[in-house]
Amino acid sequence: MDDTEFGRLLDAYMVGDLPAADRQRLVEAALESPERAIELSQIEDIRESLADPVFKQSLVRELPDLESAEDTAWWRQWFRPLYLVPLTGSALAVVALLLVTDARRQTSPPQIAEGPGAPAGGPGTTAPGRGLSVPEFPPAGGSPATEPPVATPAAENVAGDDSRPLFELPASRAVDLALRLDADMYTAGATASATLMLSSESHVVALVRGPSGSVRHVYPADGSFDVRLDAGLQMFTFSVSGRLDPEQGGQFTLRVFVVDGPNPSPTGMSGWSWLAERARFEEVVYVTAAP
Amino acid sequence: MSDTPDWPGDSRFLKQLSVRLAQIAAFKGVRDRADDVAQETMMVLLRKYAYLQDRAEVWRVANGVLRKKVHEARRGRPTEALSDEFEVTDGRPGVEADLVERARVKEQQTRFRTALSQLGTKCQQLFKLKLLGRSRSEMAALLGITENALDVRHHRCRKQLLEALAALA
Repeated sequence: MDDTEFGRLLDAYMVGDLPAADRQRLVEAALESPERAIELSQIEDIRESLADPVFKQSLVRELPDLESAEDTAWWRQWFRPLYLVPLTGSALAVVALLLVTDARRQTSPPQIAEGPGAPAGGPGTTAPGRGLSVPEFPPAGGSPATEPPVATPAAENVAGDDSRPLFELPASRAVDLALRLDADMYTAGATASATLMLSSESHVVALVRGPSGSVRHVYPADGSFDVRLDAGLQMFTFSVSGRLDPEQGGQFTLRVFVVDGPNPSPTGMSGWSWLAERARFEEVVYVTAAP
Repeated sequence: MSDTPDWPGDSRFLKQLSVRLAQIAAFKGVRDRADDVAQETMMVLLRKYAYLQDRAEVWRVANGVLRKKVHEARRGRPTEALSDEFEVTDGRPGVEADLVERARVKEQQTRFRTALSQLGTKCQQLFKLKLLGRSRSEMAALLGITENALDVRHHRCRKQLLEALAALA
């Protein structure tokens, strides 16, 4: 067995994802070399730590997501929202100040002309195309720069009307997946972590329905239907509310659909129809508060 | 398959396992007692776990026993007295595990968390994908790299993680 294959088997073994036959080969390879034996022994220690689902879940929460990894590229630093928020906020504040000053000047009491030298464009006149209404600005005491940043997913998949029947499946299709969220209440735009227990290898799809009935496809993140997860504890993360959601606060429903057994990925029918026909589900409700 | 495991009678396997356990014990910091710890582990293995059929399982249990022996040896407590105290259950301490065992697991988890925090963002992110159960092809697609490049990254990250763990031990 070469090092690459040994490494692959080690990685799979570490997360408890190695068939019995491969485990046997891995141990045989480890017994042949002291370096490999020590390496496998260290992986055993990691396995022991990860056997605790609470610890495993806490690690998943703590480790960075893909987006944050991409954001660490040096050239992206300049484009990060963290930097843009204060800059944009400052720019907005300056524009707001100018507009308010201008509006006040134009609504100030008429001045009495004192002769032919009165300024042109006197009181009551406005510049073409500019009204006296002042745009909405953040309330006093809350500058744009201090608004909490809203974490948004890399991609947002707004599900169409075809997905709505999935929230009307009969109760007989419910299944116990031990579905849990890491909290009951979130700030709009926050990222939630969901865990579920699969009794067998299954396709998994998760949808979130917002307070106004809009539905987002939150897992798999790319909006597909063909991700199959292994039996055991599984986790995924998602944004609790969508960028395009009309609602940012209120009660949301996360509904997770599983299709287990030898069912292939949807072919010849839409993913929604496939789920409506075959999936079982469990849901959990959470609340978000507008930032 | 026969109900009687063949490994207790396989002297080559027993010798190989004993040598590797001694090397692992030395690596884990009990160099001067490595052979004793390995022998005691083998004795427990043969006395209590001779029924195991699967050699991969024998390896896993042997590591569990050795881990505890090493821990006790490092604490200066004679491992002989502990031979019958432990119980390895699915890689985790059993229900009757004592406070020392719980503390050991907690300490190991803390060390692992610290080692992970010392890795670069790419390695941390890769590890998260593994914990989430992503397949190799999924990970490669998500990271925008080939599966061969993924293997290289796995290798580098695993090496860094194990080095960090060894430094913290």
